[in-house]
Amino acid sequence: MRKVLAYVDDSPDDLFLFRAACKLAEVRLNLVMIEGGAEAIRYLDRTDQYADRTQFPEPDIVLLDLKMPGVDGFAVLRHLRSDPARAECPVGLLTSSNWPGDIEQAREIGATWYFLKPPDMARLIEFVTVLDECLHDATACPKVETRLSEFSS
Amino acid sequence: MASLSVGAALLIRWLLDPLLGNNLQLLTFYGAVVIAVWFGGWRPGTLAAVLGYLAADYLFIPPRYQFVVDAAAIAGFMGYTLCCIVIIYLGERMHQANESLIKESRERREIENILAEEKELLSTTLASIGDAVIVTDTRSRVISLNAEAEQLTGWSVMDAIGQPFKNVFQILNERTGKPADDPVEKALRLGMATALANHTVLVTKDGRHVPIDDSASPIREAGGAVLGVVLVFRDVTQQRLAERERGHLAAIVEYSGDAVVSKDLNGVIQSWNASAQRLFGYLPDEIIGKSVTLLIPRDRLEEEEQILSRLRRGLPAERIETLRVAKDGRQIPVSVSVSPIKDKDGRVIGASTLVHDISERKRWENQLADQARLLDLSYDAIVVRDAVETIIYWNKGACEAYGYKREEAVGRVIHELLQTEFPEPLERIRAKLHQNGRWTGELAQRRKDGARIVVVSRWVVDRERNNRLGYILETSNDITERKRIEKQLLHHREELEHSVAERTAQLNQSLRSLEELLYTIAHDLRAPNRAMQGYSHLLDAEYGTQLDETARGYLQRISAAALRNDALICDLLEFGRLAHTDVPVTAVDARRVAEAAVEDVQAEARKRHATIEVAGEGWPLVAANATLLEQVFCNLVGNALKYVPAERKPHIELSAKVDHGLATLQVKDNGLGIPAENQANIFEPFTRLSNAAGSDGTGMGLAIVRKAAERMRGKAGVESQAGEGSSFWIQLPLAPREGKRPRTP
Repeated sequence: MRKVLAYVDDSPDDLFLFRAACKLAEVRLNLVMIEGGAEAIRYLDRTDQYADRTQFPEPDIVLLDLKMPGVDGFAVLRHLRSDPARAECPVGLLTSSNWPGDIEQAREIGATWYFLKPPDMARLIEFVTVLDECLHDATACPKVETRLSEFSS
Repeated sequence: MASLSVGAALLIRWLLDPLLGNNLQLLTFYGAVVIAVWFGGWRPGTLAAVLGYLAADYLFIPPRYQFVVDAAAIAGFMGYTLCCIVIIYLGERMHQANESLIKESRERREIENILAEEKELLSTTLASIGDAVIVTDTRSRVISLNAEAEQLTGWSVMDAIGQPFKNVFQILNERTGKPADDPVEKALRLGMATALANHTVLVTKDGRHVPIDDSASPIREAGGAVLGVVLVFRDVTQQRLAERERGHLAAIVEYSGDAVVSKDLNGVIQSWNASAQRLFGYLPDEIIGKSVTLLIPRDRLEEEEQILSRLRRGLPAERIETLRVAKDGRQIPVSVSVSPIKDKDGRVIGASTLVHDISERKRWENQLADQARLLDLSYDAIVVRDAVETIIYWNKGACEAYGYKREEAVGRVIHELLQTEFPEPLERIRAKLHQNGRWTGELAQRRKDGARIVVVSRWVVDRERNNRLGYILETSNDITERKRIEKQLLHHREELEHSVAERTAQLNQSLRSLEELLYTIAHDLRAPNRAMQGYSHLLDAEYGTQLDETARGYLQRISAAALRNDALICDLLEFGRLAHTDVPVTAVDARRVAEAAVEDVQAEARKRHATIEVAGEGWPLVAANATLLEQVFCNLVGNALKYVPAERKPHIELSAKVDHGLATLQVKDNGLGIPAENQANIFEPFTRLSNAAGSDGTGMGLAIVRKAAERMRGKAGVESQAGEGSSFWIQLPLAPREGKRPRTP
């Protein structure tokens, strides 16, 4: 049974490249790409077509972009954490912001990780590879206090 | 007498005639003669003898009733005459003796009467005189003492009479306390009157001590022999007290620091004490009896007239300050007080004049007046007051500050006059003043016109020689206006602070907005870079086989350009953030940060086969921001890895040293080195060395290092020679010792 990874980003490029990187890295993940925060809320709430759990499986891990128009990453995170069933669900923020205020806020709301977006494809592939290992082997998992530079330049 | 006795004899003989007959005719007549002589002397005796014989001869001698002269008769007559002569002679003598005896006894009675009267008079006198009298005999035994002596000695007459005088009259020398000479013994010994030594006290029977005066005189009889001693003494307690008082007064006058001169109503000097002599230079002999005008300057003679005229009316003269003339002509400033001297009946008979030399005071006053003139030049209110807060001096500044004229203020109690409100309890101020000799504080006071003013008051104590509080100088400035302005200023400042705070908050708000904007921009700017790089990568990965070398080269250039653009954006962001965000500083273990930074670049280091050494010792705790410091190390180590000739394996050493309270952290490499001409500007933004091996530098790394060092109150620099490696350093303050809070810039 493949783990389900949901990646929420407002940038179609980032979504596309993430999927390409996963493909190149040959990760054993079932990918759910969600464009934008509002859509993510609808997915999580099982609104309309998202009620179909076979087509839209419950994610085992969620990656959230932070800066999104309308509903941003924090809002989605807050929404996730407001559901007791998803309280323990690993949620990583994947953002190009290393603004300390953002990192602090993410920690407060209950993000599991805070990742900086890898600036190039090679490092993105490396990132998804580690992430894949992590999901299948807890010991390889980066800790909550992950160093920001771990997956970035 | 003769007739009576003869008649009686005749009667008796006639009665006895029947019995006797003619015998013893003359018998009874002898008796008559005896009686007449006894009582009347020889003349009545002789008459009685003649008459008796004639009667007897006529009546009883026979022949009776006739005178017969015969032998028998003549014989009888002769015998009778003889007998009568003898009787008369003897009777006369006896009569005379008796007469003188009677006279004598009468005289004696008269003398006794006189003596008794005298004695009565004497004892009454003795009893009534104030003096005590004791009389002794020659063996010093008390014979008598009067009532006063009884009272003084405590001995009653009954107890004292016959006692040895020394028992009754015990005296001591008042000064030595030893028994004094016995005056009676002395009088007896010397045979003349003696007086007691001064300072004699009598010890009474009940032990009291009474000061006495006495004298003892021997009593002599007419012939000069001493019969006893009379001792006269009296209680002088009152007299002693009076004497002592008089002595005190005299001493006071004599040793008074002031000249004391007495004069009569004509102005003639009567007495002259030592100070008068000292002050004026005249000896008492030179001046007593002279006119007091000798001492008065000519132009002031009417002064004395006024004094004398007041005195004659019994009025005391007021104290005046004037001038007097000394013997040598000097004029002396003095104060003179004159009081009348009255006799017992209250009549004024003269005056006593007290003359006090005030030259010293005058000098002082003059000096003070000079100083006061100077003090008047001051704008400050200057007040001199004494220890009980009475105003002594009040300068012009005080007049202006408080509105009270000098004459209105001097003599008043300062803080009552000004209704002063003190910033702390007055007792505490006084204590401080006493302890430190000075006090400064703000006082609220009231002007004469009722306005309240605020002054800064400085109090200084002018201590007297004995360290007691003397005069206190209070210098005050009216700061009411200043206070008002201060208050206004404070108000303005508060307003200003408020608006500054507001503006700062606004600024901070807009700064935060700007910062967020920056991140947003960066975020949005970086996304295309990622896309460019990503798609280049995918193109190469998926369609690389269909492209020739040149096309793939272009792809790589696109990818590299995208990456460099991304790095540039990140560095710019970092540099901008350094310039304006808070950099909290804490005590940081420099070694741990260095090791963390080395850990961060481990991947790159491995790629370049570099060796990185972190010195084992010498790392201090520095006052820094751990994140920034780590970034500094990352940048420096990153550079050191980058700028190395391709054939050389990078060798990097991280070390630290402490010097003069500053920590110097060093990153030393074996790279290209930096030519001296470039060393000055490599820390400027966008500076890249022309001989950089790679093209992936943004030119921001060292700028960030320097900015970071500066934000942590340090600096950054480099020592290098081209081709021989570089040694980059940053200097940071040491962390404050434990217990102190780290500083926050």
